[in-house]
Order: sequence, then structure tokens, then C-alpha cells
Amino acid sequence: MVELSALLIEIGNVITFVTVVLALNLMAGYAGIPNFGMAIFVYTGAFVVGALSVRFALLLLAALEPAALEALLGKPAYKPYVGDMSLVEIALFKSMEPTINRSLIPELSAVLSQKALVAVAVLLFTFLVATVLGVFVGVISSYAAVRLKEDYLAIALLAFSEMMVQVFFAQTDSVAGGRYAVYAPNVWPSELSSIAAALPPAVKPELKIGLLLAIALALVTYLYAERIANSPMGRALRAMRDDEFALSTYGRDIPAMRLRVMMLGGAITALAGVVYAMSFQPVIKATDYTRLTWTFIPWAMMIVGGMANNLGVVLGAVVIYVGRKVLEFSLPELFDLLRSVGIGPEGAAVDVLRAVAPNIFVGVIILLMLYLRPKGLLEERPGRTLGGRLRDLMEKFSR
Amino acid sequence: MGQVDLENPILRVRGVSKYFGKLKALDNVDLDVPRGAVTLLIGPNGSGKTTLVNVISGVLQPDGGRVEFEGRDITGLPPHERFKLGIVRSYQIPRLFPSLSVLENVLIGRDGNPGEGMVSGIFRGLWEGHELKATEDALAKLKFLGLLEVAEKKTSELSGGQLKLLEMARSTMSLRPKLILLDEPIAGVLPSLAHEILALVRKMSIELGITFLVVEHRLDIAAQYADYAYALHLGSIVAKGTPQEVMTNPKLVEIYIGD
Repeated sequence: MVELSALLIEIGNVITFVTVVLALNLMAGYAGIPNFGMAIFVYTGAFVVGALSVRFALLLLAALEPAALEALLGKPAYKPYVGDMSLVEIALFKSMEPTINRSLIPELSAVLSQKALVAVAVLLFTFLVATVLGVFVGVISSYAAVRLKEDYLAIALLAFSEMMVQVFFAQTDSVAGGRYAVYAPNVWPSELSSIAAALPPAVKPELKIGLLLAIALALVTYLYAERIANSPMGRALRAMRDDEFALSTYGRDIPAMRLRVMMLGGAITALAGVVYAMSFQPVIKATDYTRLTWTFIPWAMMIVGGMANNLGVVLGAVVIYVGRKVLEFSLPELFDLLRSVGIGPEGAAVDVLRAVAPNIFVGVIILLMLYLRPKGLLEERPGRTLGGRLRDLMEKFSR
Repeated sequence: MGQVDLENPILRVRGVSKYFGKLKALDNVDLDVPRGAVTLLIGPNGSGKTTLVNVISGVLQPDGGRVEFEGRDITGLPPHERFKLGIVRSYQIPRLFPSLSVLENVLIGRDGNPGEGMVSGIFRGLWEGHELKATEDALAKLKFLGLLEVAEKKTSELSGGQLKLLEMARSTMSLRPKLILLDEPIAGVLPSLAHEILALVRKMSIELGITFLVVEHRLDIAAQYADYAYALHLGSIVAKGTPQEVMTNPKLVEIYIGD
């Protein structure tokens, strides 16, 4: 039972990476926007779940269901910490404090599951705000830089992401937990949960809902990316990546094109962050959204899978994620084996190796790919804007 | 060749100068491109021809002077906005999109495709008609230039001459071009094909009323297809007039043969 949940969470993680890599591929693979700031976009989604949806839920309850909220916040568990603060003040300023958050969120979840209307409103709020914020971060992170050449754009995006991440890491309370954990509320109405509970497999219903949501998001993103790739827009994006300068003399406004791609990619990535934080993470901590996990690993997945090939990058995401996990779990046995022949690591080296081995694996696989298949597992293909009709046209003209 | 109207030119370049460090690439250049005609801009290597094309197309900003298109000062406009006004250019060293197919490269030359949006791109119905028409036009051009067989290949598989032809095809795809700047369209192309290309330029100019400014290294092949000509030397206009007048201009003879 426990193992099945763990496995499903890993599957949820892979699917989250698939969505993030598809968004990255749209930005970097097709449009040539070297987004080294992916982490901040994923964190934006997590931030909306951890920091904004909770406050919104509390304020909504204060407006619509004051009695339920009174019961909730009057609990002795955190009464000493809030004193005689008003409900709105607690919602706005105290709900992220670890001691309060820890007991507040499960109770909030219990209330929300009984108030279907409020739960749905919070759910819609979360997705809507994450979309808007993703677009917003896409614009502010690149607005000044879209006019720059690719290399400078990359540096600007990396710097922006690092700067924001440092700000959030340093926040211990009012924003979203920072280094401390905050909890994601369970926003599913009980009606939905009971339907999910009735379905196999036998794991927590919210995990099943989360998985379905993650699959739906990844699927929609994939279909969208494929549609765009095979449209005149996909062609223009690839041309922009090849030679932005030449494209501008053919009437395309490069900064405007880049901004639109950043807005869209930002929104998709933030939504992936929402589902991830809501369903596959026990807690939300800003410090979990590092550039290693959410910027460099997705880049590695894209490079290995094949830039500007949507199926390729999905494959890359699965290969890298599964490879890292398999390595992580099989290392102790591998060490035992090595020790039995007298060359295994001992003492502190074991922990160090366990921590770095998955990353070394990523480095090695990137190097191997660059040597053996520099275009990735699946290569970029020309866009198929007209599908089979191009064949007919070609034949007509060859006559 | 017909009479050209220099009183009312489509493009007016006035006092344009451009420096690269201490090198004076363009020195107070005045140039009028008569509407609906084929104008040649000739000059030896390093005379500033491409720099002038770059200034006209907005790729480079001049250090002095101004560029007027249809009476409007366009000196500060970025390249994509000049394209929208109807100024299209080709590159001397073809600047193609290497990961796009030959056909896709030509299709980029057709602007205003309603499918070029992050939202509209997914609605096939919005752009399929436009795309179909553009593809037919592109294939017709490729066929004319003998590139139909390589339409689906990448540009890296093409020869130098084929790349020039492709550049030519792409730069004539715009729907409402008014002024097409061709930077050495026949350099490195077989003479027989060079004549065909220039004849096409002539034909487009007469039938569609498009103005051409054709930059060439030499005058001899191109002269018979042009209405008017300028000669550039060391960043200055040294001769202008009908191609015959320019060709026999003593200064020019000296520049080409003197050294």
C-alpha cells in the first residue's frame, strides 16, 4: 500500500517533468529562448498553492462561512500564537507561520471538503492565479532582455531566477514558508474525493485526482506543442532560433514573438508547479525548487530527448528521471557488491556518493549523447503544416 | 528601357554616412530609387554597397543623413517595420534558416500568415487557406528556379549557387512588396541562369510594378535589364545615369581598369 503510493507519486513526478520539459522545449527548443530560469516558474505554481490559495480560502470563508472559520481558528492548538488577532489578520499574516500552518491546513482541508462551493472557488482561483502569475513572471523575467542576443538573454534569465529564488529562500514566514515547510490544502470537495476513492488503486483519493490532473495537463501541453510545431507559428519560431536577425528583415517582430512564447511557457510551467505542489509533495518549501532540479535537469532531459521534438523530450524526461531513480535505489546494493571485492566506498563516502551519483549520471549521459547523437534521441523534423496535401502539391508541380 | 521619374522617387537617401571605427564605409551618399523601375547599384568590392543596403533595410543605423520611403522618414524604423511598409531585402551571403527545409525557407518570405500566433497557430481552419496559397506560390517559384527537386531538403545540402537562388525565391515571396533590395543576386550563378534571374526581375518590375534596387559587383550582365544605375566607390556615389551612361563614364572605367 505504502509502496504503491510511493510509486504513484514517482509517476506523478515524471509527468510533472514531462509538462515542464515540453514547456521548456517550446521556449528553448523551438523558439531558441534559452530559459535558464525554469525553477522560478515551477516555484511560482507552488507559491500560489502554498501561500495564496490558503489565504484566499480563509478570506473566502470569512466572507461566506464565518461560523466555520470561527470554529477553525478558535482551536486551542494555535490560540496562544494568535492571541486576539482578527480572522483577516490571521489569514493574511499568520497562516504561513510553521506552528500555525502545521495544524491549520489539515483543518482547513477538512472544512473545504465539506463546503464544495468554496473548495471549487479556491481550486479555480489557484489555477487562474497561477496562469496569470506564470504569464507575469514570463514577461518581467524577459521584458528587458528579449531585445538582447541569445547568450545575453540566457544570462539575464538565469540571473532573474537566481535573484527571485534567493528572495524566496530567505522568507521564513509571510510569503510561503521559505526554508520552512508549509502545507498544501486539500481543495477537493468530498463528493469528488468519494468518487476517486471508489476507483482503483487503493491509495489516497487526492493522489488519484492529482495524477489524473497531471496527466491531463501533460496531454494538453503535448497536443498544444505538437499543433504549434506543425503550424506556421512553429516554422517562424524555428526560423527565429536559427537567425533572429534575418527573420526580422522578413517582417517579424522578434521581441514580441519572444515575449508571447515566454508568457505561454511561463503559464504552462506554473500550472505544472501547481499540480506538483498540490498532489505529489508532502510540503511546500521554496528551497526545494532549486536550479538543479527544476532548471538543469529539465534542460538535460530536453538535450537528451532531442530539442524541438516533442515526443523526443518526453522520452528524454522519462529516461533521465527513471535512470536517476534506479541509480539512487540500486546504489546500496552496488556498494555492497563492490565492498565484497574490496573496492567499495566506506563511511561518509557512501552518503556523498549516493547524493551525487544521480547528478553524475546526468552529466555522463549528456556527454555521451553529445558525442554519439548530438541531435538527441529523436531529431527535429520539418513542420507538417499541410500534412499529406504537400505531397499532392509537389506532384502537381513536378509535372 | 523606359523613362525613369527621378522627381518622385520611391526611396530617397540623403547625406547618409556610416563609419566603422575610422573606416568611412559611406560618405554623404545621396541616392534616389525611381518608382517601378530596376535600378542598379554597382561598385567594386568594399565600395560600401552592402552597407548601403543594410542602412536602407534598417539592419544598420546611419551615423548621419536620412532615408525616406514614399515621402516618409524611416531612418529610425526597425527592419520588421520597414518590411511591413514593403521593403524586402536579400542577403549577399545567403542568410537562410539552416534547420528549415528549402520550402519552409521560402514560406518565411510570405508575411501576414494568420497562423503565426501562439493561439491562432492551433486553429488550422484560420490559416490553412493562406498556407495552401503560399505553398503553391513557393513551389511555383522553386520550380522556376530549378529548386523543386530539393524543396524538402535542408539548406545545408544545397550548393552555393542554389543558395543564392533560394534567397531570391524567399525575397520575392512578400505579398505586397514595393521595393526589393537584391544584394548580388547573380554572384556565383551560371551566366545562363543569371540572365533568367534578371529577366524575372525585369518581368516582376513591369508586370507587378515592383521597384528593384539590384546591387551588383559588375555592370555588364545586368545593364540590359536595368533602367537606371548608380556607381559607388569608396563610400561615395561617383556616377549615375542610364546603365549606358554609367558604363561609359570615364571615372568608372578608371576605377575598374585603372588599378
